[in-house]
Amino acid sequence: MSREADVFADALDLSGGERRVFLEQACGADAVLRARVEALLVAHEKGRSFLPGPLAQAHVASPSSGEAEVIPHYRLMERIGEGGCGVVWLAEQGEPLRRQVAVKVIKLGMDTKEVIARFDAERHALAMMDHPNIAHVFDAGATAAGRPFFAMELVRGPRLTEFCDTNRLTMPARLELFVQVCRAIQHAHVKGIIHRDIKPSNVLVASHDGLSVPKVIDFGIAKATAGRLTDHTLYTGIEQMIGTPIYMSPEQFDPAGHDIDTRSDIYSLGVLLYELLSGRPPFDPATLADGGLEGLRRLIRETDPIKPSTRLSALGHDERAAIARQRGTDPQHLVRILRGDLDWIVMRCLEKDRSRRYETAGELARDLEHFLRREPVAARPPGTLYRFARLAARHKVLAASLATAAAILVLVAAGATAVAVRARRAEQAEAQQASRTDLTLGSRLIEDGRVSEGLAFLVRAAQSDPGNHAIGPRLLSVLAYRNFPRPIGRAFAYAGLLRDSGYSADGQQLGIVASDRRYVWSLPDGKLQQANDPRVFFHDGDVVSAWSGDLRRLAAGGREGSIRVWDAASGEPALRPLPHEGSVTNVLFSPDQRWIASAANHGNAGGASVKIWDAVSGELRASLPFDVERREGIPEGGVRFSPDGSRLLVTTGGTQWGIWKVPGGEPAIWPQRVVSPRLNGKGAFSPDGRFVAITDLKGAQLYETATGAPVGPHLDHEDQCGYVAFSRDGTRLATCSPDEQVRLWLLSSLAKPQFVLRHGFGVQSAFFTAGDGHLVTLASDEVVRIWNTATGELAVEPDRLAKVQRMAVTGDGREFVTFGRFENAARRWQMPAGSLAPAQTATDPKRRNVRFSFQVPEAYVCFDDRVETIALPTLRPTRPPRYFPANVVPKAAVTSFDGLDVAAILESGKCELWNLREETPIRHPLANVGMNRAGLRVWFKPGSPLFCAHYHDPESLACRLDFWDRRSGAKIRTEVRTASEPNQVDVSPDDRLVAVGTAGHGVELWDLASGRKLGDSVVAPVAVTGVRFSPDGRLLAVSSGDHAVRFWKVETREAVGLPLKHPYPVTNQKFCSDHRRFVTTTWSEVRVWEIATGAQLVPSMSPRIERGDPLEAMWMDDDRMIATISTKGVVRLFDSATGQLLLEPFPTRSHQRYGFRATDRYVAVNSDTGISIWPLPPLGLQAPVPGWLLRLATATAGGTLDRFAAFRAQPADAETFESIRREIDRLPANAPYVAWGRWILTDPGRRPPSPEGD
Amino acid sequence: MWPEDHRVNPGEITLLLRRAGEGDAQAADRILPLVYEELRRLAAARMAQEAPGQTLQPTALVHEAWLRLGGEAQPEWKSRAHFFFAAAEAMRRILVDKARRKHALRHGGALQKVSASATGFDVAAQDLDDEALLRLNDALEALIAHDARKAEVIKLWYLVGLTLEEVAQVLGVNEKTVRRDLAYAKAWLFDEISRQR
Repeated sequence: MSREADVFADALDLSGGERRVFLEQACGADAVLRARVEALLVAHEKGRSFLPGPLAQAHVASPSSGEAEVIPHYRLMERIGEGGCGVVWLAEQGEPLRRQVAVKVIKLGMDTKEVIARFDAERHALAMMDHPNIAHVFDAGATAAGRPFFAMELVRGPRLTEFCDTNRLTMPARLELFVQVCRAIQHAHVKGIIHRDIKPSNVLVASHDGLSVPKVIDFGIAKATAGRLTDHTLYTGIEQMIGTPIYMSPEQFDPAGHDIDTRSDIYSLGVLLYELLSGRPPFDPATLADGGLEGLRRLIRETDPIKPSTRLSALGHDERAAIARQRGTDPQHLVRILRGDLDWIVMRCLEKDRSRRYETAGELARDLEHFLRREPVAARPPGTLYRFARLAARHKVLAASLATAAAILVLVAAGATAVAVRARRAEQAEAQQASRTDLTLGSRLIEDGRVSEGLAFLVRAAQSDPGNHAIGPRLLSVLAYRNFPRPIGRAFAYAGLLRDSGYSADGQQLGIVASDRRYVWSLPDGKLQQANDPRVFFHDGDVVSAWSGDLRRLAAGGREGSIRVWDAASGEPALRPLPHEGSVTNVLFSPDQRWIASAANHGNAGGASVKIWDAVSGELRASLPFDVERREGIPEGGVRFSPDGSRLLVTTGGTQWGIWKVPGGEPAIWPQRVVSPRLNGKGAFSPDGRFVAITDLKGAQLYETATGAPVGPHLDHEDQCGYVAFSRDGTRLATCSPDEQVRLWLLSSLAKPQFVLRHGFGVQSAFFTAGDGHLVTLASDEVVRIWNTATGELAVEPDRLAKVQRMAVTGDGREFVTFGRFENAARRWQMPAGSLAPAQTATDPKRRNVRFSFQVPEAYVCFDDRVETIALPTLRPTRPPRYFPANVVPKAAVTSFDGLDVAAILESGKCELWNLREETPIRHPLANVGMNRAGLRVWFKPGSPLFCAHYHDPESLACRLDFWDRRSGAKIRTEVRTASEPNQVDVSPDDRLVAVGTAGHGVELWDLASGRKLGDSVVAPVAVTGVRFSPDGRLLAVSSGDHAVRFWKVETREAVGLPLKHPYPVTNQKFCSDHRRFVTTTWSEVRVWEIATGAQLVPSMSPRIERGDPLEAMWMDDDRMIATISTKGVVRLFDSATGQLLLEPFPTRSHQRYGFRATDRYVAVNSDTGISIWPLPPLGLQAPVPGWLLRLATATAGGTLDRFAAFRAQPADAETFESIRREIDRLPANAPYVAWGRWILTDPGRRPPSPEGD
Repeated sequence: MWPEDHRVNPGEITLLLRRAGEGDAQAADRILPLVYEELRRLAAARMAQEAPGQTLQPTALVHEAWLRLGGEAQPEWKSRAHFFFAAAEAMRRILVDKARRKHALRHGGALQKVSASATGFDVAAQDLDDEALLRLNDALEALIAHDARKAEVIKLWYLVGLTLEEVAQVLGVNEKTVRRDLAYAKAWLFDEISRQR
């Protein structure tokens, strides 16, 4: 530290006189130093608000934002909003837990005590709400200045209406979000909470993992402030009032005002929906302002609003067009969408008479879903007569003309019956239309993870339009690229409610105790061994039960205190009751079935005990007393045998845990005390018994069994950890928590989780499958999810195993069983074996430097030490790998597009080229580029012998581009030097010119032969983002930062045609070889343009950008097909002539990608998880969709659509698949899609990597 | 268009960081262009996910770049330090670049308000307008010349958003020193900017 800095920093710690004395001493005679330090001290004082915090959080309240609030236990950090009612702060809560919250400080002069009291009255009900779309209000209180405040869950995001408009959400997308809002309100209503103040500013859209999640905020606040917030606002000024009261129901304006119920929220939802759909609220805020409070009251209580579609039609042309644009459509179409069902749905919410509104928000949500599925909605009156009558009553004149119209309609209808042919044609057209709609809906559902439902829609599309041959490949793409658990055998039905279930230790039997009967199935032959009346087994107060490993005995216990052990076969008691004091919380057999361990809590007095019994004689072998408080106790799951049965782990729900020897009960390690966080009484031994994992209210902690010493840091969760599972090899640990996550930890590095598996719902239990390849979890949404433990991704379509109340797994993890919530059946499932992709090349995920090139019939995969060649379509290696010379380990390699050459950047910074087709090992460099430069990049020009290297030249600070002929290895004389970094480079088709785009400098054209820059640059209005020569070399397409593409004549540098404008930056562009069309990609869509006219030739091909998954790259091999990949790795293939999907979008489950290629037969992705090549089902086959394919799709979906287009589950069993397989086997091998059908139905472990293979 | 391989290779940076951590100065020099590139690419990709008009947080960006470049494979702060030095410098250049461009556009008479996203990336600097940022940058450059470590503290804390504790780890000094350095650097910059005006 310099002297100046030292003196300054020391002086800072002192004040006044002390500081003066110190400065005198420290500076002595050095007047310069003294002056400098004093200047700095002054600067320090003056500059207190200078750089108050890191730039990222630079919104920390500046002194100008008014008087600072002080609130106990909260640290106000940033002012995030201000409204008529108060100020909202971002704050950090210190106690009881540290978290960021939003704090709303109420501005108005209200009785703080009253507000808090009213909030307290509802606090309990508020705490009961638990819904992903509801932001919690945690706390209410008074600030130091005496104002009421509310602390609530922090939601960062725009208002729902704003969000939809900025993102140009389509009507269905808007409705989908709105349905979630309805569900949230419904949830609150069920818990007895009325919101009372639903309006756009209280419905925000947060972004979670790229998903847009609407969140309703401010629950309970309107009630606590007793509506005075709104009322008061009315009087404080017209400015502030606008926006609030137009969302209030008529009854909220009632001066009596106390009679508010849930239907008031329905009205407000209706106003919100009205605005969301039509762009305007039902009443014009401007009119409201004129009428004053009284006028407003009258308007809302007495005037019927006009229908959204009418309101929209009544707007000016420009306004209407703007609103339609925000909805991704045109005004006519928008009115068409609104007119009819949506009008009715909205108007039903807005009924003045609340008994005519929807009864519940759930009903409203359902009706909207009906609309989305093209089903009849409930909002329409039963007959048109009802409305007609209402209308007639009001408008007598209109009624007369309507009557005439009706008469004409009748005549037309009569005429129509005579023209039956035309009717049939119309019917056919309608079927085709319905089929197209089903296809669209199906695709959307599949993308949303509702794959089963989506498949059912595709099946129906194929059925209603058998002439649509394009559906075959779409179905196959779903069946082949996605994983579905395969059923084993038949489902076992049982009677009554499920009480307990389990596999026998050897996995050969499955035992189920239902409330009415008890069953043991022998699994190999599916025989039911026994079934008898089990009422004897369970007493009313029983809460826990356990099977012995051989399923011969069953132990149960509960509030009665004693434990009863039964002979499962005879239903007779196997032992006399084993006495326990208090209420039994645990009972379990040891792995060798010799011992029974049990635990009980003693009740109000506190204390608990654990006992070990001889399972054969019933003799008590050990009794371990626990001195614990009443609220501690030993919870269910708190007692565990070690895998070898020699130890017993006991964890309390408080601060103690320990391990005892079996059966004597001698303490092995005891007592182990934990201060914080408190335990919650779930523990588990590692498979080798060396470690135990103990759960607590903030996660879990691993300990060494022998010493009780903690291993690694605490494994944190945001909430308690309710379940832990070790992997079978003991190297990993999965912790499950109600914080909606499973965290997967490597025992070798516990500092942070290896993967966080997000469920969106609290997770109850989990297990690893055989070989630890998958983790199976059950969450509170009753969905079983299967995760790939190597990637942390979902391995199986998530909706396939839904409505599951319980699951069990065999000891070896090879199969598991699910018990449905609404069907009394146990279904057995096989683990999805094999890889995720149908064909993933044998890559080495540890080696990241992988490049590939793709030249049918071969693909070249270039690792950092070798090149492998893979045959297409079998996806098997064709020859032994060729290794780079052992002393040359390239740190990066690039392959040419034709697969003939590879360039490697060596450790030394040099770059060398090799030819790949050489049959002898690659040894001699073709060309030694010989550079040793920072930022070196090399690339091959597709279809040309040119090889280019690009690097920063540190001497001249310029960027250089060097070119070689890769055939001869000769360097082309030219050196292209640009002052600023070239953004984009393209070489003309004849290899004569180089176009270099630079930020802010337009596009420079260089002649490669002469090495000279050609005359003027082409200048784009803003930074150039892309450059392309046309295939004939005459045009240059330049995309720029204004999101437009412009064309220039290469010869004259004249602009040609109109700029092609886009809403987002253009990320990729390509000329079609027909010289007519041009394809552009933005983050949101792919467009096909006609160059001459600047017109779009087909509708934009759009991924679901509103779902936060924008396009990353586009690839066109020939002009017919456009392939895209999104940032989440979802691949879509479009027909460039129609814009229609050729296959269902499929996830490639890749994270960071380096390359993406597609032909009409393969899609290949090069990513950090390796290279996967996806063979495509035959496209464009003129063959009807075979019947077996529809049956296979239906069986895989496990259900069909009913006539209301609702999905009806009909799970298929193994026999169904077997019969389809037999049917395919009878077909000739070259019949359409047969190879694919066989491949799909073959056990993943035994099939070739590609359906086209071998 | 660049062909596909125009991307930062995560393996590459891991290697460089390790070697820089072992004292290879050449490796350290090569980190900056890679990090700069990745930050720009990330910023562009993030913009795709944000609604138009929204900005990005430098801290989030840097940390994401850290993860994406495989930085978590670097348990040692010693080698992490090189990444954060590079990130701080890269972020400074990005911010200054952006401010200059916007500044130039405004003074170039562009009528319509040009979103910075038009340049492909956009980084939040809510508290500072462009001119203030450019002034700060000038002062920062003077500070680099005067006392490079204190400038580093400002860059890491202010631009990258590291906590004081993290800054201390990166610089290999104790937190108290960082606190003192920061106070000094802030006063120094404030004084410098006041005199410039």
